[in-house]
Amino acid sequence: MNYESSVKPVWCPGCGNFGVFSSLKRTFEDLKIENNKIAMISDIGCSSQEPHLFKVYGLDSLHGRVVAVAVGSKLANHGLLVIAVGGDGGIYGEGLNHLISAARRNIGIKVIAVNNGLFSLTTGQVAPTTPKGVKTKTTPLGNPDLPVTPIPLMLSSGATFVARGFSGDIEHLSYILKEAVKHKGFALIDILSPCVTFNKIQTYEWYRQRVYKLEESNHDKKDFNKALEKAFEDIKTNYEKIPIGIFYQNEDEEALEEKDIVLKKGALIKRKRITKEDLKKFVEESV
Amino acid sequence: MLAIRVAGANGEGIDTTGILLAKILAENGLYTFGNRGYQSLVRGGHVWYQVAVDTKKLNTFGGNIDILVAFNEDAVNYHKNLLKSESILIYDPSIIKNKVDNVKCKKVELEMNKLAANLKNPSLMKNTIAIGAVLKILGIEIVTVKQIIQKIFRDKGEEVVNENIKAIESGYNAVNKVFSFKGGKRKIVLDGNTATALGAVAAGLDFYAAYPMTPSSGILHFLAQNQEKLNVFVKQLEDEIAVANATVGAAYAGARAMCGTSGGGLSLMAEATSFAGMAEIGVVFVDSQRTGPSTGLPTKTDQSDLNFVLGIGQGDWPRIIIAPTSVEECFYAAANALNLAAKYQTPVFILLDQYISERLEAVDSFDFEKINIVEPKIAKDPKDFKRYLVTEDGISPLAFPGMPGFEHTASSYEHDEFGNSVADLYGGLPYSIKNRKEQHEKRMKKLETAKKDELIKLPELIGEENAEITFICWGSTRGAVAEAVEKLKEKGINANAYAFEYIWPLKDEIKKLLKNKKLIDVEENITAQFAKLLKREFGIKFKGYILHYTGEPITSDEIIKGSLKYIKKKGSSVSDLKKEFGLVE
Repeated sequence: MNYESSVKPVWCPGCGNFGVFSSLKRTFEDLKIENNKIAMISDIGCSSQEPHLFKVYGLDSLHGRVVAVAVGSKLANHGLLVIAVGGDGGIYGEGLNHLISAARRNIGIKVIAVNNGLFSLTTGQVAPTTPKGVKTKTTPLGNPDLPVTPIPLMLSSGATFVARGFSGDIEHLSYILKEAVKHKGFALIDILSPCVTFNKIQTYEWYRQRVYKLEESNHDKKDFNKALEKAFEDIKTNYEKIPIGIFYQNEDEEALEEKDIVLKKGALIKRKRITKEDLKKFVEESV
Repeated sequence: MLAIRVAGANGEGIDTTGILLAKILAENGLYTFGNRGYQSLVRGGHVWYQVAVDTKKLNTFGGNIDILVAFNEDAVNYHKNLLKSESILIYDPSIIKNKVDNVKCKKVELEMNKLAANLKNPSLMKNTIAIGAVLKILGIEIVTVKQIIQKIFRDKGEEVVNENIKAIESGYNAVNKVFSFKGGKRKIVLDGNTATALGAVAAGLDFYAAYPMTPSSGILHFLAQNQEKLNVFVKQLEDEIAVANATVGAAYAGARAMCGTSGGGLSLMAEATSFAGMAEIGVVFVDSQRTGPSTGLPTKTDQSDLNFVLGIGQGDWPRIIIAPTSVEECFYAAANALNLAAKYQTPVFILLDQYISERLEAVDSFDFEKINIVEPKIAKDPKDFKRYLVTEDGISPLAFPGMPGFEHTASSYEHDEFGNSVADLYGGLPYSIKNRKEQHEKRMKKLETAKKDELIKLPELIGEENAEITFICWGSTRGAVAEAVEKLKEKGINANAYAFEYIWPLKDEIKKLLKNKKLIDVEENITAQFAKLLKREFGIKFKGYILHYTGEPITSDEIIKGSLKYIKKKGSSVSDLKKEFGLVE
């Protein structure tokens, strides 16, 4: 199956988004997902070009709203693989409420947060993920704020699949994405993704020296407490050690689509609607 | 018409009492019209419920009160000015002692507390006792009442049925018959929110999302309670921004999707409306207006979101606006809104208000045969499929995720016919400039097509074609205007009215309809928003304005009072006319 569209990417050479694109492509290829069954919803930011590059159903939404839009699409037709792709600004900043809500509801969307620690499309302003002290265009004296910590935040929000990947390691990122797609409920994949133009600190090299794979360190992804411990490791070590991989996966929790009184019968748009006769009867008897 | 008002402290079950009374009367085959007066409180405060009853269809809940059931002293004090000398005041002498002497009307003592003491749940049953008394005064047969009570409470068990019948009977037997109301065919009683929800379901509603906000919450409550029976997905989401965007996302994936809110919530939805307009996704937004600006009067009515909805969301994009003119019309309007959203692939707004959302009206039945599901224009050939194909009527072929071979990206960015963004790669280049113009014009073309569509209706003419004055109204104020036209006619004054339900786009024929008419604008906002829209579109002039913005629904008397100065009647001055209509200065 061919997943590539004729649209060419407009990212800066070396952008982390190329790695995200390649990993997504490999995920689709390896799992042989039918093109028409993929709905890729994007936020607004550098990463929002992803849907255009694929021969799948795509929708450019609004800055910060990708998760809410994806939730709607998934609930309307949960037979689709619904991917929400956006940057750290949109997903962890402007639209954080949607992320927490989708996680605690366990709606089976796959949220891909391409995290470059900055607002890059708007030329390098401070982002919710920018570490404390970092100088940016809008924090010339250094960022006075603590960053959002997506992994612990997602764990405490009831997310049933929480992972972190690195766009410089396509092999490993593809593995995570495949596991996320196979997971029936909500999944967050935070992707450390260097911005080669504006982020001069968190470069490929910087990450390569710090990341290590949870899969190679005897981590039990089913153990919530262990996951919580690992989730704070980057902060605790002042980014000396950054674990990547699947922090936590809970396959026991039902997805909303499986338990909702209407959705559990099948995809919403494919169900048989109430007939005129039955509705008429309902009005006469129950109103 | 006869108006009954039940009044007392919040938390006493006043609403339930009024609604039950309206239901019993409608089950008995009478037309009823109910309206609640309440505040944004859970307990405390003074509340009332007014039920009008008649053998013919009602336009309003009535002006003066014919029967007042006063549960406390406040009820007498707040409402006594609406009582006429022949009105009946029902009260419990053990609660209100010597407080009714100076009220000039007929009085009926009803020892509700004493009678309720013998029943299982006295505080609740005293209300039912009052209903029994009212039903006797109206002259409703007790046999029929008993059957109705049985039907209404049957799901709650035999004990509840029996207790209620006992309570009704004790009230019934304590007073004397005054009127002789005879019922006809059984009617359905419902409010505008319920009718809107039902109309949407009739037209194939798949998905409804909302965040609670008075006075729109009734739609969410009704659909949530009946989601299984109606087989509709219903979800309360984290905020209105999520509600609007998830609804757009659901519609993108092929669902017939609707969301509801009031003005404050709609403010948060603004960006999503524009998104749907640009990406060409058909969704329905319900805005039940309440008295603004800002938090305003949450439980009161207003028609002041019109300008907001006309201009909501950044940029120019096509929108359709419908403001149903009665509870019955809410049903058909909601069905039509879903059809229009599907057909035109753009947002459709239903403008309700607190009054129409929450008032009760008795409806004979809904004509389900009139509801046809209009499907969107679905693409047929995957070869050379262009999601945003430039067409004559502005409507492009559509494909939903899941359809093999039609994969494309829909976009909030300006895009070409394929959906590819022309912002990043080509912005400002000749290709993009040409494309932008074509796509923008294509989208707006949908409005021209919609104008000629029979799904978009002309305003309803109330009264005769030629009249001395012509009222212009829209949405929920239709009832009061129709009543005013009727009352004026009784006094030999020929007035008519055009009641608009389809607000945008306005059909070209409207200009001719309004030509050479002495137009009086009636609306519930301070700036004459709708009149200004008509002026802007058609260059017509208005003779006068009756603008109402107290939060309470406008009454026919107020409309008559405001219109008398534009009426010429031989030998009568304005103050003569006012006297003739019994309107005191």
